[in-house]
Amino acid sequence: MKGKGARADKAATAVFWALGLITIVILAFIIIEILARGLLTAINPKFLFGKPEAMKAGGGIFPMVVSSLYLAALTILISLPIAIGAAIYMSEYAKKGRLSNFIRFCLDSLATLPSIVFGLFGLALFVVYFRWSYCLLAGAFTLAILNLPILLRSTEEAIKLVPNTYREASMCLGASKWTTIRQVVIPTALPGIMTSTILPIGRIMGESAAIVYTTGLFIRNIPVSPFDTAAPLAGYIWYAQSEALVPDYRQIVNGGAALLLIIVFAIYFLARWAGNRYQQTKLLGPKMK
Amino acid sequence: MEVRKTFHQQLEDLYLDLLKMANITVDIIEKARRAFAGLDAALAQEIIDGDDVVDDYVKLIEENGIELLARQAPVAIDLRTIIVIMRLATHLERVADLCVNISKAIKNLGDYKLSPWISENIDEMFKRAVRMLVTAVDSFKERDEAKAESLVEMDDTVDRINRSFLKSTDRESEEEVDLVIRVVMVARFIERIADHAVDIGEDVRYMITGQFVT
Amino acid sequence: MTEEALENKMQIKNLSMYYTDFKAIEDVTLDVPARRITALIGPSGCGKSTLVRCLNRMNDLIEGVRTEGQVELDGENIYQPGFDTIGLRRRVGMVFQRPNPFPKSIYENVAYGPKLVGIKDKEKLDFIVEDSLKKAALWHEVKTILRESGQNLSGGQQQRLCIARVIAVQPEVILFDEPCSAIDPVATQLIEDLMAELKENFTMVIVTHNMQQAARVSDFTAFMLVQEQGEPGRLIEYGDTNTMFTNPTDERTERYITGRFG
Repeated sequence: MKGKGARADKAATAVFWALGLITIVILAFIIIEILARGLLTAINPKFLFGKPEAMKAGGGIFPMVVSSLYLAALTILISLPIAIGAAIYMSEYAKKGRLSNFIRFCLDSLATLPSIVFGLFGLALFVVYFRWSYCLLAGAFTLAILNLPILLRSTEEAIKLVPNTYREASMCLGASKWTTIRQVVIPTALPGIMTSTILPIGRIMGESAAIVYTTGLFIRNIPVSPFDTAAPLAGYIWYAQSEALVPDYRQIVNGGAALLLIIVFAIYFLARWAGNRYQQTKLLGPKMK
Repeated sequence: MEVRKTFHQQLEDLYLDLLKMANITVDIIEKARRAFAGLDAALAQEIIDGDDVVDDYVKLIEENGIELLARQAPVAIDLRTIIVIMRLATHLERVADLCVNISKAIKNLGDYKLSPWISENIDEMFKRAVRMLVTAVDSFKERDEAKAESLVEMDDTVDRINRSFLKSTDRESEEEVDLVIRVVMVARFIERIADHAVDIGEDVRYMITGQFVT
Repeated sequence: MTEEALENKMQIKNLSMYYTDFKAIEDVTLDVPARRITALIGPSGCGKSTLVRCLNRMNDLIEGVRTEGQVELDGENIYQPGFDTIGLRRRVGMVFQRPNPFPKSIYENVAYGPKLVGIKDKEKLDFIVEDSLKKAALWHEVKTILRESGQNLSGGQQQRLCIARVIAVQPEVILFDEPCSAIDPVATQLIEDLMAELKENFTMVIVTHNMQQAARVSDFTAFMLVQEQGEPGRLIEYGDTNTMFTNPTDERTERYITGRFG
């Protein structure tokens, strides 16, 4: 039986294996390249915890790191409740029909818009019309809108992954629909939802076009209030590179990129760990005497 | 870990019903023996009237047996046990019927005077038949193959006594023909009771080994 | 053996059910005697699962479902307008085809129902959990691992956990929708034994595609059938299980249970 079929099968396996390998190689290449250029700078305490310089060399990057994390937190804080609420509506309540199709169409359209459009929208609405000026909150709202479609989609997927039999079992024990959602559906979906927020966090941290007109690009002091001007890492990297006002801008750009990569990875693993831990502890309840 | 509790409980109930039926049947033979010894028409009538009890038992055991077969899909020893219990019930019912026949004969013997030879030999046959039935039931209870096998030998003696009655017509010629016929019939009925005990033994051996005994 | 008079816990009266335009079951009239096990048998798609889900109105959760006729629980029509379906489902619990413990601990699975009705007292909950697990013949296997996930148990144990979870709500009726189709034979027998024990306190209805199971566990058996494709499922014959399996009245029942079709 060892004929053409077996050989074709082997060939196909080899091709797919090679394609898979290519993705890994590309990813590894990018990571190694970025870390090789910037890791040493990134972990230098003077750079990591220092204040940036406007004109001279030797500036640090700490306010930008804080800006990025602050911005990401604010964005998730704004968008996650909306996404979960909307996802629950879409997956549990909305009847299949015109309205839900229309909502989905709107979300998909929103997801295809280039991020600069959101940036300009944020500039017009939050910065100018609301007179917030460049600040974290304006950026956070802009990014929240930008990320809503993808966050909603992934949250909805996580909720849909909850087996229907859990809902049935809960209803059969005399739970109302809302109780079932609160007590069974959301807790079961939560690890999935947490994992699904990681992707948007990565995007928030890496987004520059949507924030250059909303949060600001350069600061020297750590932002405290959401209404403070900020300079998230990605925006600052772009700014440092394009303006090149400081002599050591290359070093700053490389170090900043490496740092951004490390932070995003750190958040990714933290979220996964937290998700698993939640599943193990929170869902298993109290000790019995 | 025991499973199928309900089924095994039902099987146990069926088994206990059969043992009850067996005890009743043994009692009936014993009663028939006494009725014959004293030519006691009243006691004979009691046996005839009491036959319904045995009939009710056989009906109960057959119904429950069929229900178990239909509903529980028994296998292996469980299957053989149920089948053998149902067969045993049939045998016991026949034994009780034979006692009824004997009782009818006793009633007809009325005021005849039986010779000591007849009385002794019939009594001996009764006792042996009772012992055989008890042995048969014990072999079932104890799942004792040797005991079940021993019945064949026990039956030989009963057969021998029975045959001696057929020849007795010459020796006891002074007795009336009517009496002789009735006594021969009674002997023959007892001999058939013993045969049922042997059959029970064969069924028990099938139950234990799964092999048919021919 | 004395036959106590049978009282009917539930009565299905001329019940028909539609999925949008498709008539799934038609004109079913059936009594469910109290503290007995009633089995629903029939080939796949005969509407037996649909029928059992009418008894606690689980079909309401599906869009486009419509019913005609009545289902009475203790003489009260559960399909009357404004009937409290949440309360109904507390009185008529359900065990599903696939074991479906929540991804919570064994303890939390059982305590879920009691907590819904506002029982918060720890001691009371502990008692209910222990009692329910004992009644479901699972306590001895899980008493030391109550905080472990219910989903770590074997399939058969999971199904008994689901039964314990239902018992904890103290329903009057328990519906079983093919409860053993996803578990092994020994676990199946354990569950059948358990059902026999639960008969003392609960009225049970079991849907099963396994005729032998219906024969083994039930007191009464109802046979349903779709005669021609596209027709609704109808009740063909209903009677005490013994008669149904030894001497059914309807020829179609006989042909089905003897394996001549279906």
